[in-house]
Amino acid sequence: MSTITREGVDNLSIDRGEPEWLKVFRVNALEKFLQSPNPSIKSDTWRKTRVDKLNLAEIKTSSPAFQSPGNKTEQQVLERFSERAGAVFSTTGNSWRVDLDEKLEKAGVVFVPIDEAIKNHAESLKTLLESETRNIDESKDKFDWMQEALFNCGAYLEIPANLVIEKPFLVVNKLDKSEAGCSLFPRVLIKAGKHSKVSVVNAFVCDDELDSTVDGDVKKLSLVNARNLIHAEAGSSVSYIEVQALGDNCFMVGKSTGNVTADASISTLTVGVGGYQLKSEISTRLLEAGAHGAMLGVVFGDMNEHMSYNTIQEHAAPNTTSDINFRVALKDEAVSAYQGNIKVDKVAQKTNAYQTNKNLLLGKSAKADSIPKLEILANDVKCSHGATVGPVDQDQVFYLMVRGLDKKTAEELIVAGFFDTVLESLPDKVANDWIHDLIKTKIHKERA
Amino acid sequence: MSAETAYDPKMEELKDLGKDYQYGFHDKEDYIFKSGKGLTREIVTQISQMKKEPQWMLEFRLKALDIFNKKPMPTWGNTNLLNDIDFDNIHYYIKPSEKGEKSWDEVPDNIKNTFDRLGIPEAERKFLAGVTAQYESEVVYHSIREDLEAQGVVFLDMDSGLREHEDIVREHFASVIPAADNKFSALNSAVWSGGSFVWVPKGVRVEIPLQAYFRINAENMGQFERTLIIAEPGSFVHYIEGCTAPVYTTDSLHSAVVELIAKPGAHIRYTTIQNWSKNVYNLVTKRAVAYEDAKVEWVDGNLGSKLTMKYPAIYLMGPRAHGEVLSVAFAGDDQHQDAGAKMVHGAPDTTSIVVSKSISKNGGRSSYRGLVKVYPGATNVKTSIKCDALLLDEDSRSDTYPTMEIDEKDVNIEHEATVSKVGEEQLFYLMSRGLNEEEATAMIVNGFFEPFTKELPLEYAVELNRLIQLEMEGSVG
Repeated sequence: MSTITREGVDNLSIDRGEPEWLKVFRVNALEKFLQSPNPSIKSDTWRKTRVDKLNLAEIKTSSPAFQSPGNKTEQQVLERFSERAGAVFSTTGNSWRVDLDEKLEKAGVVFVPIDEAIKNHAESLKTLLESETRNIDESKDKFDWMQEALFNCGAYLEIPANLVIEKPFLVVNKLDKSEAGCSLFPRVLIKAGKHSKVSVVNAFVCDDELDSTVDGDVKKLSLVNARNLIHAEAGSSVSYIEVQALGDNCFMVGKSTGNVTADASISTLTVGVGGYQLKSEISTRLLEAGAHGAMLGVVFGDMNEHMSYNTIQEHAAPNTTSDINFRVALKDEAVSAYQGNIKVDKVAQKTNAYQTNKNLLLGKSAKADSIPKLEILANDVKCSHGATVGPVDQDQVFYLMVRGLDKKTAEELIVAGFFDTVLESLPDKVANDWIHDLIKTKIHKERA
Repeated sequence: MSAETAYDPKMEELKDLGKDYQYGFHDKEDYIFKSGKGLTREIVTQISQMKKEPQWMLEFRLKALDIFNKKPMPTWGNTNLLNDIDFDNIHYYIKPSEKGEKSWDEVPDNIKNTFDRLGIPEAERKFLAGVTAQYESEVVYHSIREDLEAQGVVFLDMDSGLREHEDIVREHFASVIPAADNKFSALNSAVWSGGSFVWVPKGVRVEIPLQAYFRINAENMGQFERTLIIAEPGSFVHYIEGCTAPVYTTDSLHSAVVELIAKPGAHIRYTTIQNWSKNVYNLVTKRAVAYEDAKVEWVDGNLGSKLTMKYPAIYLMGPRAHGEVLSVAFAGDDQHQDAGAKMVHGAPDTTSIVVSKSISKNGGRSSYRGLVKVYPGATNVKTSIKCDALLLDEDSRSDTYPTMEIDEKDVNIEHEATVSKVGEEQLFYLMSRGLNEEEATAMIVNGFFEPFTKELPLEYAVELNRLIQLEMEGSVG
């Protein structure tokens, strides 16, 4: 039995006063959702996940009452990023703008909750949504269709041409802790105008107390199904940081797509530090000459968390470059399955693509899979990838202990250093500090 | 060495051969027995009866046939080509002559001429310890040096092996690759014929290689040889196989099963130079087990065939066992070389190395597909995988699909892969030294393959370089 029904989708659309085209969009997605089979852990993209433990019939998709930001988790994030361009807060079924720099608003920046964008910026939004549908329809699975049918919060950001903004835009998505089995379907759309520069921090959080919500031995899972789309116009530069810091009964499915046009660049950093299951697909499509995509990853799992990250570098035009550095550390019995795919189309000559995935195993029963793939159809290219799996180097630990550090501190330093090769390229100090703190807390977290 | 070989002036005469596949000729079909097309219980039973096999083997075959019929086609790899295979249009068993001869003179003339043209007896005289030549489904010629025989080394075709050493065969046959492993191992198990059986006694080192030569002659032929090599503790053996077939417009199927068992401290090296014509499907299951302190090496060259799907595997089941796969693939027009390696670490202190080199040209596609699996408890495992691919023109394609499943913390796993074209600077350097572009490219390609060729016996390395030279001709410009 599914709680996701035609009636539910109709009501969602009607309650929000959505235009007809969006209703059609949602109903079409619902049909596809109902037809699609449940993803199997035997399939390539869902291997080693715990999707078989997720009972969609137990997930509540209806919107609870309005809830304002006030709880400490989201407040802490907002306070950290006090130097910001603007913030949108999202929770089950609702999102609203916390603030937006007045100067930027005057300069033509649009930064609004998704439902406001549907009302006031329908044309650009429609183009974005439909371009995405056209391009990757056949590769969508049940969770993608579910997101399209039900997305009900999130943000829309549009940067006018030639505007360079250093301060980050912040989107905070909070999974409601009031009841188990709740869900969040946020969607963030970013459009960077020609030669503009923008950075966005998209955070997924929940309250600490949620961590202990366990019904006996059967855990009731909550679901986050997030979609993110970035469109970088010619010469623009987008930095996107996604922080996934959820509780141990949160099942998160995320999909992030970046479309990079001529001489533009998108760099993403995905930080996975908490969740029953974190499953993200991050793809960068290099559509025109001179496009560049960088995808960084910092993933740190403990207990029996499952982390599954798929990255796709798609080179669809000549003279494009991409770079992946995805690092995974695992404590306790944590499990990770990383898959990376470099695809080079026939026309994409002079491609330069690099991909590295390193896995650090800290826990005795930690498990890491790595599947870095290459599919190369052009000949004048440079593509390479590397992957390693190994424990903490005991020589390094010994060296640090000889210098007077205890074992725990020594290991902490080594783990921090392992991630630092990714984080050192991050220009935003606030985000950098936050990620460091999240990692540090986790290194010291003891089993309850 | 490779470069000098490639530019030996004597090689000039090879130019006349152009790009033609030189083993593409075929003989008139004159067989003692040729099964009808298609696969039935009757044909399987008939094969077993003609071979006068024990009852358990017949039962094994029939059970395998049921498994084959039930198993679906693989849903990965080149599924388009796989689904083109018409299992009802294949001759599953062809018997060319009455028995395997020990003297070359007694081999029927037409078959002898074939192998003479392929240079087999000559090769044997020069440097081999023993030769088996298989024509269609049966071994037609077989010899082994007397001194090895005196030491107790058994080198027979698989059918004779079953007759003469039934106990050893029964104990080990299908113990590494059960019939149910995959659709093609099930097919082989049902209709297998020929192949080699090698048993090396404890402590015996066979210093010069044993060789088998496989030839498909008839159209729509299915060759299903079955090879089993058992190296008793502390022994060593090197086995080499080569494969060719005529060029027909319809496709033939080669689906072998090769099982290697390296007992404690034993060392097996298995070298394949596969040069099937471009109408052969080469779908082969090769797997080795290496026990304590044993070492297994697969040296695997894939030049021919329409579609090759072959992933030599080594199960490292005893402490300190070591496995290596060294493979090269050359994919030309209408070819897909889907090759790779599987390393399964089931014991502590085991180590493995995979080196894969591939070249794609004229629209060919080469894929590396690999697996490294480390089971819990297999501590202090070290693995290194290195894949390099060269793409010679814009119509060709290269894929890398490695999988690493690591269930143990105390391990050291490394994988790296690169795909590129022939370096402009390297070409420029060589051309400024007076080579033309074609020669320079061939030299770079030979250098690229060198880690592989240097592992081959000299004569094979020369042959391989010559084949690459032929394949490379006309590839520039």
